[in-house]
Amino acid sequence: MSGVRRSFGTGETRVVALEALDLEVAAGSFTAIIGPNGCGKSTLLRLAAGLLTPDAGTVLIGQERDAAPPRAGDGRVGLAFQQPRLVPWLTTVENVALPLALAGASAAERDRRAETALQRVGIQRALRLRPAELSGGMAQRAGLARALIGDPPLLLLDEPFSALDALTREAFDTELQRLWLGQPRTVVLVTHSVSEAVRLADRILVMTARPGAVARIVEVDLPRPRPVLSGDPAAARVDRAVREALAEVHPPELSPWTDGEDAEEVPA
Amino acid sequence: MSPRRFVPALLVLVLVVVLAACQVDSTFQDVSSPSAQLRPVKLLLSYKPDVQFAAFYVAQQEGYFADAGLEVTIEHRDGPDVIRLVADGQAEFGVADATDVMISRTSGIPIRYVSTVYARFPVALIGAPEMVPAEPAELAGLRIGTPGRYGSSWAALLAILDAGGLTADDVTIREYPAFNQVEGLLNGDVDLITGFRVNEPLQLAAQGFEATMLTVDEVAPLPGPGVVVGDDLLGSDRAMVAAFAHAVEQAQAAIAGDIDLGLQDAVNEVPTIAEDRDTARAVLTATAELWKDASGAVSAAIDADVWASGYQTMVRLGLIDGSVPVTDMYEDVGG
Amino acid sequence: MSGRTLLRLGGGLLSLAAFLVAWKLLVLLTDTPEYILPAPEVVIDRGVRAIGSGVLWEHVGATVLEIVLGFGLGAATAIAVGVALGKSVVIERVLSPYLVAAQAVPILALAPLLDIWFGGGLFARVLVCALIVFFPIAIATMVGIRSADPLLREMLLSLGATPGQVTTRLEIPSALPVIFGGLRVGVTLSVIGAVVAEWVSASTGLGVLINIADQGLFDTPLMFVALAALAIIGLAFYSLVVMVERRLVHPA
Repeated sequence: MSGVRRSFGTGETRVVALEALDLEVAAGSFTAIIGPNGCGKSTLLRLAAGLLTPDAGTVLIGQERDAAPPRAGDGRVGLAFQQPRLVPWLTTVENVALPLALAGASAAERDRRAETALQRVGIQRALRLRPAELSGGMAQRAGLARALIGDPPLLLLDEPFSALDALTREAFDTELQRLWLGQPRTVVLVTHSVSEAVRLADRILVMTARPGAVARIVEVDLPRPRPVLSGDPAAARVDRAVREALAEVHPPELSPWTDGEDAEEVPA
Repeated sequence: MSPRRFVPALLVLVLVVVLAACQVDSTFQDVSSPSAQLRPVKLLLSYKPDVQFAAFYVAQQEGYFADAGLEVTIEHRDGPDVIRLVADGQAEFGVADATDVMISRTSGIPIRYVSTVYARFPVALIGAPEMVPAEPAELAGLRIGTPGRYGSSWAALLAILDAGGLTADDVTIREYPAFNQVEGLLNGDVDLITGFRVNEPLQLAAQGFEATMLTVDEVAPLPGPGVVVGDDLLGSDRAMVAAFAHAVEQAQAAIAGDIDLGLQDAVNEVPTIAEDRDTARAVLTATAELWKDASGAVSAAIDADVWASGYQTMVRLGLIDGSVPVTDMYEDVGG
Repeated sequence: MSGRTLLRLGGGLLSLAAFLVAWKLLVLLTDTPEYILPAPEVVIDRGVRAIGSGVLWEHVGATVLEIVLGFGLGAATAIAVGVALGKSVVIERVLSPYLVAAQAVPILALAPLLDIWFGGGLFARVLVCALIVFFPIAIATMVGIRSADPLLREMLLSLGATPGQVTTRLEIPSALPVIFGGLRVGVTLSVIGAVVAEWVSASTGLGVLINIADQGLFDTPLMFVALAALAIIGLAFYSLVVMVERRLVHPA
């Protein structure tokens, strides 16, 4: 993305979500994007997915000369959301096969590839169940399977696990890491969790508050696979660097609640 | 007030308001009677307030009812409901078709015809002069519009056909349940219609359609509408019934002698009549003619011969089964 | 027959019996004459005789035909119009005033006009019936279409769905529960519509039978038989709609 601006609304209600945003993501890399609320992370993802077009600047997907603006449904991008967003009256396999159905694939092909996708995320038992019958984690995995069924070169993840409990989240992070290591592709993960970003990404982009742009890039040069809590001081350094960067761009939520001298000083 | 108390309180309030509103109607009726010596009674008429009912307006306003010791309130209902409500005692008097009295009496409804209002039958077959035949037998194959296969119009139509040796199968019947058969005649969907002698022909003339008619009186006599009361009232207070019938007869005679009196009292009761006085006067004049018997005078007497032959016709047409004798159906209180 | 169905059937029969007993008690306690309110056994007896003589079937058939055609026509156009109203705020703003105004005019006043304009045959009656069912179904469809989850809409668009695919795969299935609510209301209204249409112009039908029984024959029990037949027809059609709904609309 280069020189991207995107705003919403007009007149007094106009909100500039992104301004002068430049970023570049290497093919096959795992990039995490982190930042305060309202910094435009979701808008950024939607621009990358082709759901929105920029007011100014360009968005391109692809290598060098073949790079072109993204278009929804052209198969280059897979998108998973914070909520599973499964169609309530379809079964799990029908939901996961939905991109293929929209493209007009045959029933046989849909069934075959959907079953494979379900196996990849470990929910093949849920084949004929309806979304209401799935647990939160299973539903989220189904959403992920749907994003991956077309085997897109670029996978966009919008806080995919933040609606889940902490333990499930850690487990899913582990599985995501394993999936990516097994079948490499370009991944962009938007997250609120510093530890998740440090655990999974090659680079962490810290965004400014609204209007959003890239404030700092933190390289993560740690070996993989990375466990949940590594004793590695290098990991702690990366973690600290990200938090410092966040502190610089933080909105009031990240400030201490009181300025009082009587409040205990707690090392950050 | 907390929500838990509010909803039941609201429901009670709504219930009270609705009940009170329903009471208001009857309260107003009572308040309107000024004199305590006159007995308040209810008269049910069909259709709606109209110049045809001038006799009753005259009887109210010129004191004929008061002379009979009665304070009469008029309400309007559908024809069959008039008979049912009067038989059940919910109103003292009604004006109904004799043919309906025959049918309802045969069905077991305790209604009795006590006084003639129309000595001539008000319903006729109406159409363009070239379409109205001189003989009923010539009706075969024609298209006839009528409100429906019920009521005095249907009885009259069957009676006329029967006089020519025909049945309903020999003609094409087209129903106009909304009583708009005049339109069918005007746009050519039917050749003839049944209608009221004082109503449809004038409607047609207003549209530039000159009509003539074939009446029941000429070919198959049937008794016309009259005053009806329930058996109970007739048994318990025959004198009052007779007084009522007499008052109506006097009012009719007064109008026959002075059409404008009837017109004015009708306008007093129904101001909208004044919007077309000329037509209203024509209707009232024609109506008054129907009140007169063969001698040319208004008479409330019940013609036993017309009733007897009419009864036989109704039995022959299959509209009544003859299980109830005709003498049970009427009692002349003027006699 | 499952135990649950038996229980439901038993409950229904019990409530019917209670209704009949209450009716009979009312007639007995108020000493109402038969020509004003007949007792249930009189109505049932009259009904059996009317069925035996074949009279009832002829009228039932005529009315059922009007209902089926009228409801079919009304529902089909209403759903189509409702989808258009739901998808386009502009269309809604333009059409709404006329739809609401047409709905507010009593059908009893419009029916004679329609009868004249359309030649007073079966089609005119079907049209009256269709008009009565149109509004509730159209509005239900519009509301249902608009109730489609915007999160799902975005998800579909991200997968490259065309507007047509969004309509068929999201909006209409989302709208089905609400649409069926409108259809339930509509089908009971269609019974009224058929009778109103017959009161304007018809020679057979349960509406006509009501007139004949009430005004011609002074046969109040027969009139009640006609009313009961209408109630049963309404119930039957309603149950049909519910059955179709259970098959088409999966609990989400």
